[in-house]
Amino acid sequence: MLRKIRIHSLTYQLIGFFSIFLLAILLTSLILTRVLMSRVMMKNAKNNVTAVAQLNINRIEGSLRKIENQATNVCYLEGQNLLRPSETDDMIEKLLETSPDLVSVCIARDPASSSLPAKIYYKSGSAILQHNLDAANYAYQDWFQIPYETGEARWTEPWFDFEGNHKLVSSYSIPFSSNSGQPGVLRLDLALAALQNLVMPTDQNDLGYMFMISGNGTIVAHPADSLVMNESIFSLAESRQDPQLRRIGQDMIRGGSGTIQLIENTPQKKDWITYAPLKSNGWSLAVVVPNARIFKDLQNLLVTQFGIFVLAFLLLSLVIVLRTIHINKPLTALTTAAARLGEGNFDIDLPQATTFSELAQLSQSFNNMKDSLKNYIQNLKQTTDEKNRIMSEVLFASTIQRKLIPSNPEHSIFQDRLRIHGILEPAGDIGGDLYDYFMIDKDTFCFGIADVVGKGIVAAMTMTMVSTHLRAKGSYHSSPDTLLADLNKFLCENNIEANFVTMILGMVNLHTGKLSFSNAGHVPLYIRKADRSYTKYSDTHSTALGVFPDMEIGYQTAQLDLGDEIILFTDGITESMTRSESFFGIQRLEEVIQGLQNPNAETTAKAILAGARKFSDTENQYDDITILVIDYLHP
Amino acid sequence: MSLFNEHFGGALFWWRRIVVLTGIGLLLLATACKQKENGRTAAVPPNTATHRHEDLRIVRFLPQWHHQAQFAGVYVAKAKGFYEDFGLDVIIQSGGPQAPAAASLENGSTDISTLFLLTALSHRDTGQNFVNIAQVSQKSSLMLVAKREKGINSIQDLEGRKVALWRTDFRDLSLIFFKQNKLNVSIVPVDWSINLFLNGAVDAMNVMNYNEYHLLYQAGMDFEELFSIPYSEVGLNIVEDGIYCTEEYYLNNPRLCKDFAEATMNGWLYAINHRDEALSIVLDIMNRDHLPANRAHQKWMLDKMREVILAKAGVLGTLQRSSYEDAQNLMLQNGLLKTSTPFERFAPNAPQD
Repeated sequence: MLRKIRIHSLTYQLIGFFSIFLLAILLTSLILTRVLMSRVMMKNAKNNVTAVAQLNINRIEGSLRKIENQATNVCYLEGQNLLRPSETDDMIEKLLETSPDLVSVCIARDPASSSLPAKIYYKSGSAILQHNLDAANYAYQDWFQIPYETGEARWTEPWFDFEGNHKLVSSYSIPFSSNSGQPGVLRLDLALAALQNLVMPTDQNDLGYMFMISGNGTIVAHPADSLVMNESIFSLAESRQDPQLRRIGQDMIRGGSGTIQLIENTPQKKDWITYAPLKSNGWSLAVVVPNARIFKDLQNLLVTQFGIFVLAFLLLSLVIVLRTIHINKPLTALTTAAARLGEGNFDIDLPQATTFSELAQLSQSFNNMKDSLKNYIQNLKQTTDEKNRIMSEVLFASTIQRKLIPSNPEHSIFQDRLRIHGILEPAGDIGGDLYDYFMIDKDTFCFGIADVVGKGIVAAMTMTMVSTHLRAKGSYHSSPDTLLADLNKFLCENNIEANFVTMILGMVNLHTGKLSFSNAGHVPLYIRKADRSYTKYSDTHSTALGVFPDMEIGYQTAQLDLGDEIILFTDGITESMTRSESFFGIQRLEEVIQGLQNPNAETTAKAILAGARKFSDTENQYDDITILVIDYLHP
Repeated sequence: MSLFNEHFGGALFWWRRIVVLTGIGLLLLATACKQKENGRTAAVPPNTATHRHEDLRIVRFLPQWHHQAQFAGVYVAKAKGFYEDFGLDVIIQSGGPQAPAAASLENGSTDISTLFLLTALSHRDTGQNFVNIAQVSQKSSLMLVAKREKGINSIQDLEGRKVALWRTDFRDLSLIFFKQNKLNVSIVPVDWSINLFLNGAVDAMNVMNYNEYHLLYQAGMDFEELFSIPYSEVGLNIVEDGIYCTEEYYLNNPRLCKDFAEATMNGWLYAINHRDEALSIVLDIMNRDHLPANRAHQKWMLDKMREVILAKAGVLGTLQRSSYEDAQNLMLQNGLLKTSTPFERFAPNAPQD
């Protein structure tokens, strides 16, 4: 289903929108948490680390104090000269036995003022051994010389005791002046390893690491063994060219404490160092915590927060997908139905009831539209059928109308005396133009050309009436004016639509060549001579027919010579239009007539039609075009 | 920094030392053989004929203190095969308080050692005749330092103060200095530790410019906190490290002594021209002997040794008559020496101009 989600789909849009919104909330939340919490974390971490350092310091101090107290007690007894030598031996042996960290004890008097030997008691396995020290040397050793010179009890720097049990020790030396006037120094040795073990409890590893430096900066405890007793914090600072570390070291050996972020040479490793002094011996303990460790909790918090947001986003997306699919179901059904409807299937059932009111409304509206469309199409079908029926009838009428016009005789020869060619090209299926010719009696030839003003069925019917009337009444008249008057009267009485008709009606006595014609509001006629000259007869003898029932109609006569050509046409020729709506006109027609060769009715008619067609340069014909050409051949 | 394991002793220690020394000896030998193939720049020995191992003349050398860059020339000469080129198989012994150089020369536990000039001269009165076969130092490195925080900012401020002096060497030179400046001070003899000074139990102490002076720095004291008197600047510029053997040994092995001196000075030349390599050789030996070592301090020491070795223009590795006369006269004048010794006898190898 998810595969169906397209980029423009509702689901995609919703998920996209919500994810951007969620992302904005997430970022804001993460930044706020980071800013607000980091300070708190830093403070907490400082407190934690300081507490850890202090805890270790207290443990070490406890160990040191214990030795100091023991030393003070022995010193008191020895200084007051309260014990016999054997009692001293017993006491010190007991002390060594009961103190696990204490590895040796030494009582030494100033060789310059005492003859008593300096004695060292030390553990060797489970036994406690003792021997005398070389009087030439011990007075110059730190453990003796420093407390003796200063008169103060001191812890020494770690040193290797080769005369005791061959171990690195730190000694607590306490000067005494005995009553017998033999001043000296009492020394209790603590194994350095014992202190190192106190500094590095394994369970603190995740916090970073700890190291301890002695009073002159020597590293006495450090996770890196190679540094212990080889390097001092100052030699490290010198090797690393790190003045900050040197300053920290100086503060440490002077008993300072603090928390500082190390700059170091590596920018990615910004460790924090917390240090505090061991007041008993002047040493200093430091905890180094990686920056990442301090902000580990914050990092975890941010990761958790991020995880929750991702989960929320996924859940929300799932809900949106499922819900959208649910909403989509009726929509999809509606869409399918609409598609089938579009293919013309109006009988399908549209999905009906749905839980969503908007969709129900949409469905209902769609149903209404379907019904309306169905009705409309039915009506359209009826109308179309009707129209088709009428059209077939009109075509039938057109056929009849064409039959009314005389067809051109074979070789255009009519009665062996005339050569006639007629052309009628209606603009629509049926036209309002007309030409006709027939013999009234055996010598008189009657011809006519008419243009019913108006178009369509009415014009066609009027034309039919005109044609029929001429044929019916033609033989009763010997002059065109009376025939036209008769026709005019008939039209005025029967012409319902009050269409008027322009017409030229002429009669030719085929024996004498006498032509008489009447022009009722029609365009001029031309008579072309055999010598290619022509005469234009533009006088009209009345207005158009069918308007005034009692109007007077005149006529005109002319004598035809052999070879004369009568040219008749309707305004469809002179008003042939170009696309720019300019007319063919009389002048251009006359140019065509001038250019004609020997008289030939068919050639002349076609030349005029071709001239008009060529001029109009358009497919559309706006008006019916009718041409009738009659050549007078024999008397 | 406390040299916690200076005073080695006892059976365990000796056993360990023999093992370590044997190890070092073998390793250095291997290194030397290997180095020989690599060719060198510093050494142009007179007899470059290759020596079969059994042909090499064995000689024992004892540095007057623990292994450190103060003797870098010897370690480098050995490591780079310079001794072997001279037909010498040098056994480098471990120095320190447990093996005092002068006594070791005298009792025959070593053949050649380093001594300060004054130390070598002072033994003349007791009939111990040491012969100078080479002079490494051409300038005094000895200093007297005091803490400014104790109000000592001039020589006169030392009046009535407690001053720590080494109970063996140089004590006399400092006493001459106090006498010359008419200072009454209370002397506290010390072994080697700087802790008495750091603890404030004394106001001033003797230091070597190449060693303790820098150890004070590595114990957190800034040089500006110290009022320093370099003896080279107060008319007591007595040269120090030289290479010595007994007169008897010299008379029996004059050629060997000359070769040893020349090879050692070639070692020094190489060391001061290849500081990092030399430091690695020194630190290697220190680590093998389980001595506390940090590179920064050894670097300082090598740099300062370079200064004193090259202190006199045109002089490298030989004792100058003037340096000798200065030292002997100073001692005679101050009653530290009763009889004088001719320069030719004291330093037969030196140019006798």
